[in-house]
Amino acid sequence: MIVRLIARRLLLALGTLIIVSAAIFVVVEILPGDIARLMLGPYASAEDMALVRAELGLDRPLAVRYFEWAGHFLTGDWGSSWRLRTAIAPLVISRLANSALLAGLAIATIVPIAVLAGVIAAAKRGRFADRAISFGGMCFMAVPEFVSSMFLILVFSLWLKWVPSTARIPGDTSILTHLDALILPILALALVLFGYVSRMVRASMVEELRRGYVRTALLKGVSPAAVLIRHVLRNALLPTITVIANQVSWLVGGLVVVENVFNYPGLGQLLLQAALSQDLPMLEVTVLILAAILIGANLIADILYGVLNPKTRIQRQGTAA
Amino acid sequence: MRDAPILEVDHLAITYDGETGPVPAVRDVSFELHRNEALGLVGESGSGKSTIGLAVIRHLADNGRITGGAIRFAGTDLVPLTGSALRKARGQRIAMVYQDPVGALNPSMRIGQQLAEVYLSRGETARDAIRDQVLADLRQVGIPDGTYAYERYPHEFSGGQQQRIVIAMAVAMKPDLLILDEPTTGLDVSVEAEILDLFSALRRRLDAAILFISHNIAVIAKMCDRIGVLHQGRLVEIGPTAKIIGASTHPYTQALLAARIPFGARKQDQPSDAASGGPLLEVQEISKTYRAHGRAIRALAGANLSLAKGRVLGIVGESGSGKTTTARIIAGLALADEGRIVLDGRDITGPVQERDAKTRSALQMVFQNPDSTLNPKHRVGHILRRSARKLRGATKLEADKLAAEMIAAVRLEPKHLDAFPDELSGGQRQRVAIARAFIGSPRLVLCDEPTSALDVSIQAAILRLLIDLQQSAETSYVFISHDLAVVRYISDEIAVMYLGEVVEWGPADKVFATPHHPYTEALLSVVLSLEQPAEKQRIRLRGAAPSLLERPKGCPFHSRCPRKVGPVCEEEPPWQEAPGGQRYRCVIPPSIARRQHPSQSEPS
Amino acid sequence: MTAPAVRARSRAQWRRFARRPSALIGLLVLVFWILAALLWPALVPYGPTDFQLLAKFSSPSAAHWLGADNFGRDVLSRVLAGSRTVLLVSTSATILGVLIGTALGLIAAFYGGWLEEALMRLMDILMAFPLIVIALLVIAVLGPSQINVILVVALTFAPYNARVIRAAALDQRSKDFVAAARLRGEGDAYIMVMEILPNIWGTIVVELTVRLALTIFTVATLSFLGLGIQPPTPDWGLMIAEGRQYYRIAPWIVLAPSLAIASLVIAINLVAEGLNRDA
Repeated sequence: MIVRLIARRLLLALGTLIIVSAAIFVVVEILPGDIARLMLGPYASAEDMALVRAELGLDRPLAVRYFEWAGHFLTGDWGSSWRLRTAIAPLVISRLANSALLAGLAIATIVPIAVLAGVIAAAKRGRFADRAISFGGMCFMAVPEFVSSMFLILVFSLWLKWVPSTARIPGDTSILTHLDALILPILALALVLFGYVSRMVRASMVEELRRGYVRTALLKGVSPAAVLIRHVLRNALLPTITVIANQVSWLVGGLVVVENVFNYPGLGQLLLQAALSQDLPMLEVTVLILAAILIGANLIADILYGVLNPKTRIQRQGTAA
Repeated sequence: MRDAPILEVDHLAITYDGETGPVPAVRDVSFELHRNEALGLVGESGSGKSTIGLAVIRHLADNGRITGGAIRFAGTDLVPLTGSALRKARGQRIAMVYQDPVGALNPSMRIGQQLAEVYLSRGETARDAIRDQVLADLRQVGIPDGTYAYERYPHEFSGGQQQRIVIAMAVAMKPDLLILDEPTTGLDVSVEAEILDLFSALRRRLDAAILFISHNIAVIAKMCDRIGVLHQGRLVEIGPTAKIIGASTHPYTQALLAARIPFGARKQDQPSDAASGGPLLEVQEISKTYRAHGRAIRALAGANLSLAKGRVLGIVGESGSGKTTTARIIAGLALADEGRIVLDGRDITGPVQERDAKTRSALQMVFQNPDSTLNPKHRVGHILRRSARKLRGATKLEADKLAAEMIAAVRLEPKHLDAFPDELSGGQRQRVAIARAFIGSPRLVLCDEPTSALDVSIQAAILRLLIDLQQSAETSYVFISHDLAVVRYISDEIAVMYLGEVVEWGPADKVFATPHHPYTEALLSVVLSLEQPAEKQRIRLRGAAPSLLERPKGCPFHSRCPRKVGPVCEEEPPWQEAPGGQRYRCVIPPSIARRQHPSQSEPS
Repeated sequence: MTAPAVRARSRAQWRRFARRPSALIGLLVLVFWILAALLWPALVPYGPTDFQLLAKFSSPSAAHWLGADNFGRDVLSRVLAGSRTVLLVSTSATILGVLIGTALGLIAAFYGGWLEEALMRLMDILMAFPLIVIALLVIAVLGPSQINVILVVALTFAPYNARVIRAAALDQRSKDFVAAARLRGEGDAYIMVMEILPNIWGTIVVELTVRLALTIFTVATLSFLGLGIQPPTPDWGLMIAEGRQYYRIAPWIVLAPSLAIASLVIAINLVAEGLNRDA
């Protein structure tokens, strides 16, 4: 039962990935118009462009070019960047690691706090704690990351002088020796996350608290705290898993902005620079990597949901009276 | 010398804070309840009966407040207490069983664990002893295979079984006060009978006070020693059951009792020129299978019906019988996989979109839920005029006239034409829905539980309206209901459905007086009404209704049939004909069937 | 029971909205910015693009209430002028996105079958991606401009909107009054527009408001990153992008537009919350 669930989801995910890669390819290769001109600049001569076109094989049918590109990608040949004139693969890998560190730390620190906040808000709904948490969460969620980053820099870096305002790491040293530089970027990322997750948890908990089994448990003599933790939470957290998976998607967007603001050498910054300089090979690869990560995150969330929800795990043998 | 009452409600007043201001739900209600006594609180919607139950366990909605009075449990007033003081005063001594069993259980916790929690919360710690006790509790409520059930989740049980589990939890608490709030509403009639039997058996062992809240006076009369009647938040009358039912002194109680359809009553029969030309409606061998999650649910397995002009065909059956699916297929709102629907000789099988205007105006439907039967954004007049235009091609003037006529015909006032549905009561909305169905002069109206969602006092009025309209227009009805008293009242002919098949059909009075199919017999024997003798022999059906996914081979009922003959029942049973026009599918021939059935009392 | 009833209904709705002080504050702030967007030429002390080199980096003072930036441009004027750009672009993108999304959602809910499956799968795929990334991709390729921003943002938001509308429409589709409409022979279009749509208006309005806040979020982010509105059009995101290098010496250059953005999105969210109780 579970194996079938996982297999089906996996196939679906792979299929999506393929379609997405095709879409990325089409967008990047077709939309800009003439790639040769883009590559060589506006002053290139006609012969040079013809040469480049022939070399890149731009006259071949789209499908062929796609498969060639896909093949290269799968074998690890990710081409080289137009802008930086270096191989893409090692650069992307290292940047990916940096971004993963940032995102991972943000998730690990803020999700437990957000869940706690959501639980407290639900338990004290209508009262001050709830209103404060809800309002705060909404503000964090609504304000764009670059704005909240600015506020953070102004307050913690300029005014209080507690932390540095950039995360630019000198070339050969590892990030881990400059952890204080990470604090503001993590915080900036975490704030939006906090808003979404705490709201979701609160809404989910409030919905569950209305259900009859809460009444039953209270009558049985279970203390309200135990009811909250033992009964309600496990039902409320289930839909939250899906939300957290969605948050990975938001995080990626946030990474682009936050890495830019703090000059952090991550994948988001790479993507942005590729976009601004129309570095097409880099663009293709980075977007595809991000796509794969996002699809993977959704896949894990789907599977987790299926596994943890007893209703899907154990199908009833039919319905009767 | 009687002990002090377990529960004393003293001048209780409760208010809800609504959108437009405070709404009093309970006004100055006082009563007492002693150990081993069962008090029933009966009332219609808005009477405050459920609110009282919720107030006793202090689980009112967020916008409800106790504005006056006291609720004394074993001498202690619970109203001023909160938090741990309340918990200490209550202990585990108040238990509640209410309407929605699946809601009362935590969907992601195994039921064994939920039951064990009763003991763990008391402070007991011996795991094995607790487990044994839980198994015993389950056995006591009729779930014999406790070890299997212990590890299962709530959604793996049927509604009736879930309610049993909830009851087991309540009983395990060894409460001094047991509150039951509509515990069997929403369950099938046969399941309801079993659950009520369970309550009766447990009551003797429980030694608790019971507060039974319900809108169904027959259930209350059966289960309770005393009855309290609630109307708009006030307790208008309270006394021993026999007195309230037989010799009530309050006009509201009398009206409530009089408004019921007594079991066995029938409408005024109208002489009809039946059998003039063939049947109006024929349903031939329709089957429908729903596919979900890769599994096939056989909702209908070859159902057959026939209805003459100007007659009312009642369809009875419990959940899973396929009666609603049948109605939707006849209406064209669902598609049958096989079979035909023939209206007045014309094959109209297929979606309603493909029917011509004449057929559409000839075949209309009245739905169950008054809250969703009218578009809340459309005025009543618009709804009726539009129907007139689409069904009869009426011009604007004609439509206005027809709308005015229909409003009067359903006994509403002209001012209601300008109203929005949310300005009308449930009964009024249902009248509009009926007007909407009749405005095209239909020949056949499908009524799918049209009165089930209405208060008892309104039901009779709506039924009489339906009958009047039917008789004056010579329209035929297919009337679906789970309420046998209502079906008996209104139907000329009856079809009994079980697991997607028609198992018996015939003239209504014959089928009710001398049922031939064992399922019909069992169904009729569990009907609970004030008119039936108190300790009638009730036929218990073995096991639960089989799942629609695993239909029994041959006769669909054989797995539970008390009159099962043998392996021959696992083959398709033949249609048998009994004198008087009854037909049923069973291997037992009519002569033997009739001899084995005790004769039912004739309608008074 | 006619016109007076309808008026009483809307009065009741307004009262419910107005009972939450937060919703009222949000509305006030929103109205303020709308007025600023409409009337800024009459309100600004200086032209938003006027260089006043003598006033470079001046801190907030009587002459420049919010100070001046690296080119001596008055920050207050730029903030007020920027409101028009922000609201214009965001509102257009939102309305466009909600139009497309509502149409798609209604069609999917209504027709069901393979059409719905296909549409929903497509939406799922699109929604798996952060808007920023899609916007980055497309705008990088097409080049930044206001029109491109409007189109891309509208198209990337439409699936979310479609989802919500579809759910609301499905909810209505199963109601008995829709079945009754079918039984009297109403066609698909009539049912969609006359029966279902009036009952989901509340949802649509809330969606518009929520989307507006998200659109402003995205448009501002895109401008900040350099992919959206281009200089010299005054825009809050651009102001922050240009001004952030000077944050040590002239923090007001980034503080003012930051507060503007924050106040606007929070205000819209408060209004949305107020409406939501209502719907």
